[in-house]
Amino acid sequence: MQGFLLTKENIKGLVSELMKSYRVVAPVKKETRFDFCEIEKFEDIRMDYDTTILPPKKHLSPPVETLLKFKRSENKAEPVFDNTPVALFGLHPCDIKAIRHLDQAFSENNNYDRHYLAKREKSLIIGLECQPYDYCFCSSVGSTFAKDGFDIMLTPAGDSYFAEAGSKKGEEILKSIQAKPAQESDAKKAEQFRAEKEKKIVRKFNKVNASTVKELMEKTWDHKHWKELEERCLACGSCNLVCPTCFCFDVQDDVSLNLNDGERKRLWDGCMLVDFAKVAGGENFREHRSQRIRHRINRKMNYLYDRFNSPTCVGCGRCVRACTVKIDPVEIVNELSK
Amino acid sequence: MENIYKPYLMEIKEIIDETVDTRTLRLQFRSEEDKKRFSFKAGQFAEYSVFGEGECTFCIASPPTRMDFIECSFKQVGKVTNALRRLNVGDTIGFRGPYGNWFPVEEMKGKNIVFIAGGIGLAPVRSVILNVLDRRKEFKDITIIYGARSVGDLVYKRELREWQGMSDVRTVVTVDPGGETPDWKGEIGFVPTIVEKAAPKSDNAVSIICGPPIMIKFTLPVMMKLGFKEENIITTLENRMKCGLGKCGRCNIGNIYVCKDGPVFSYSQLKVLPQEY
Repeated sequence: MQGFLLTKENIKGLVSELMKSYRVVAPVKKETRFDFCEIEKFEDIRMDYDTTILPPKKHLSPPVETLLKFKRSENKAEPVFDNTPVALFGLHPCDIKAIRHLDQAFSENNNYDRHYLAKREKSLIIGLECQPYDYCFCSSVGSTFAKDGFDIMLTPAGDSYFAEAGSKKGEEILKSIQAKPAQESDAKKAEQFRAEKEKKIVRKFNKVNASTVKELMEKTWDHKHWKELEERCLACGSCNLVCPTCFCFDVQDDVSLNLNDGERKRLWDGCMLVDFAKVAGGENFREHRSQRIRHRINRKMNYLYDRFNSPTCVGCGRCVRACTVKIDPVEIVNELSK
Repeated sequence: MENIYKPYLMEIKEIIDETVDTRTLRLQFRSEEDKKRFSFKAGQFAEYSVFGEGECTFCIASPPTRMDFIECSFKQVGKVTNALRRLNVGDTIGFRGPYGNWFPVEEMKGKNIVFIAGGIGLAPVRSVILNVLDRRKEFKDITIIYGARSVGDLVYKRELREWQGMSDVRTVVTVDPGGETPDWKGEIGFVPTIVEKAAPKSDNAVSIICGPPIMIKFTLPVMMKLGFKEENIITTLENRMKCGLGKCGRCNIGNIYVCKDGPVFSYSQLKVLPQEY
């Protein structure tokens, strides 16, 4: 597909074009870190962000989401959908891949979760090529570059951005802002930017890669390292909360003070929390922290591999940064493969 | 827009108290259309809800050969089951389902069948038992071994009596040592011990087992000793679930989701999974 070259001025034009028909969500500075927030003006956007506190997931599958509204007196429940069009701007390749995983999770087995999909279908994804930061490890899980999953992908090329369309919608938008076609030299600059990125990735699995980590996990089920991790892990669930591919959820009912109107809500959940696998009778199928951390790491590297054709971990490194005791999937995998 | 989480409405037609804390609800769809559309197989489960309290997961305890009603049995242990218990005949509950796979009743035709259940684990097994009894001629010898902690904890007592009265069904009922009453005439002993004593034949036989994890753990070696093949020992798992549709992730064990790959598994399938059930 034909590339375009977007100057900073063009990017500004692109964002204001988007703001006409979308709620534009982009990385903005929040105290000392960054987060994906709805922007009011172009200047809020930080193209130089390293990563965000929470992944863009929260704008497609919010922490708390109403599924149904009901009236207890009438025993009737009606679904609620929020499909305000949202443009997710500035997503790094790892987050783009993570959204592909969410798309699959919410639509596989012919069970279509319209609450997610209605929002997703009206959304737009504008990717932004990145540079590695202190915690990420994308090359080990095969998410260094995004080949698809975006409408537009921006790669720095000198002072400007090399823009590729990944969808019809993306192409139309690029044409509508009258961006000029890129030269071969612009494409080369973008290529160089990506090559440098790859070189700068230092956090890696030592002995396995994205396709062999699954086998390693299968062989190390009884490894003593899981017990060692139990000594450190606080089972706080922070890793679950910041993970772009944690899509497990809880469902709870909420009744208003009139004791009649109520909502059935979906809430983010975390497999590291003690009662995640506890059944009403009192049995807890993953009572120990070692079992839960093994479950979490296996879910990211092994359990869902065949369904998603890839580890579900995208190597964004948010969990490492969020962890109070710095439990790190890279260290875990390297320890297991020793 | 279609919604996979939207419950259908069902009316409570009858309430049967099984024990002091276990109750069976006999339910009927409020809408004739829902009733016509609904079908299920023995072993499938559903999400039952009380608006304002939440949803919970139980198997369908009645058989697909009796479609006038759907029955579910539950023990009062949590928020939703407490709320379900406050309801009366004529009240409405929410229902989503059926979900999951089922017991291989068609493959069991022409075979001897051994049912083993403990406590409220009889609920999913009852669906198959009644299903099989309603089609009695298609199956060979039927053995039912059921145990509970005490006489008071035995569920479906009326049916146990009925089964004990049938000439073509062998029914053994037991209570844990100390759980018997002075007039108790059944067996006394834990389920695994009683299974060993009853020694059902393993030739051309399929066994369906459901009960507390500890019962299953100690019954399996007995079954192996009796010569049952791993693939002919079938059980149903009850992990925690929220959606029933393979989305919420709660019931994930290894590379399977209990809600969509199960809840019915053979022992040979379970053996390769992490022991988190």
